[in-house]
Amino acid sequence: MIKSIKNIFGLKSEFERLQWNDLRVIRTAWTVEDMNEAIEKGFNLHFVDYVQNPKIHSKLMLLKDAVTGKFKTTSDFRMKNNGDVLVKFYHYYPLKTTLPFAAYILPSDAQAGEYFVISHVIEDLVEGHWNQGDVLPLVMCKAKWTGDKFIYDYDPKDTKKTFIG
Amino acid sequence: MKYNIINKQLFTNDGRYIKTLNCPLEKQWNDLEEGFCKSCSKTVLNTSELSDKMLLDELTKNPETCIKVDTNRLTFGNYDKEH
Repeated sequence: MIKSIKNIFGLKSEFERLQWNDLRVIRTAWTVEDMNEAIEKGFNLHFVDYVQNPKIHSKLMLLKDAVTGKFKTTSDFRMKNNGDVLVKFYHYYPLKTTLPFAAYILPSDAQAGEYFVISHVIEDLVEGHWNQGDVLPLVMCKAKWTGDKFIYDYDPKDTKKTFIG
Repeated sequence: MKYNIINKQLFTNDGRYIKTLNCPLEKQWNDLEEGFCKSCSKTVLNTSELSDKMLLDELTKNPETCIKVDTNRLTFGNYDKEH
């Protein structure tokens, strides 16, 4: 709602004034091995709890392709006639990690107030809805580093039903 | 159409790469006035009535065309034009 009001007046948020390509990219360590490697290379880690969001939801089916004979998975109901169904659609949670936490890999010179691109958000925030029932998690976003946490460019009221580009 | 939400690449249902949907201004359809983007002074193509082939033909001829795709038309997955 706030974003919509700003759009009416032609105002841009602090994030909208920033170009993606001008920002440094923060990658995510999903495993302990990733974390060790980051530390060895001189990065710092910012740990975030990974908690499943009950709103996030995916589905999957296993097919044997009618043309190639190879197994393939699909999340699209419309694909069920493209081969032999080996495993019917089932619903599942698209886990990012089996750990209850993950860590953002921070450059050692990250400054409080600096803006970054988070390439793979740890928390399961809702980015959009598919009319087949799937609810998609936010993957990438701009964020501001405060010195002890990231503030995401994310508004749960602005979940997407279209993509533009 | 198939869409990779991570790398933002859009493909036809038979796997041909169409375009990477990555508006640098993060425009949403509601930001536009009847599909016109004031920031870039261009009309964003609404793909809801286009077939995969029609869209691919259009983007092949005019790769800089901006498009809007509805999520209800997409299959989401880990697709990649490099493979």
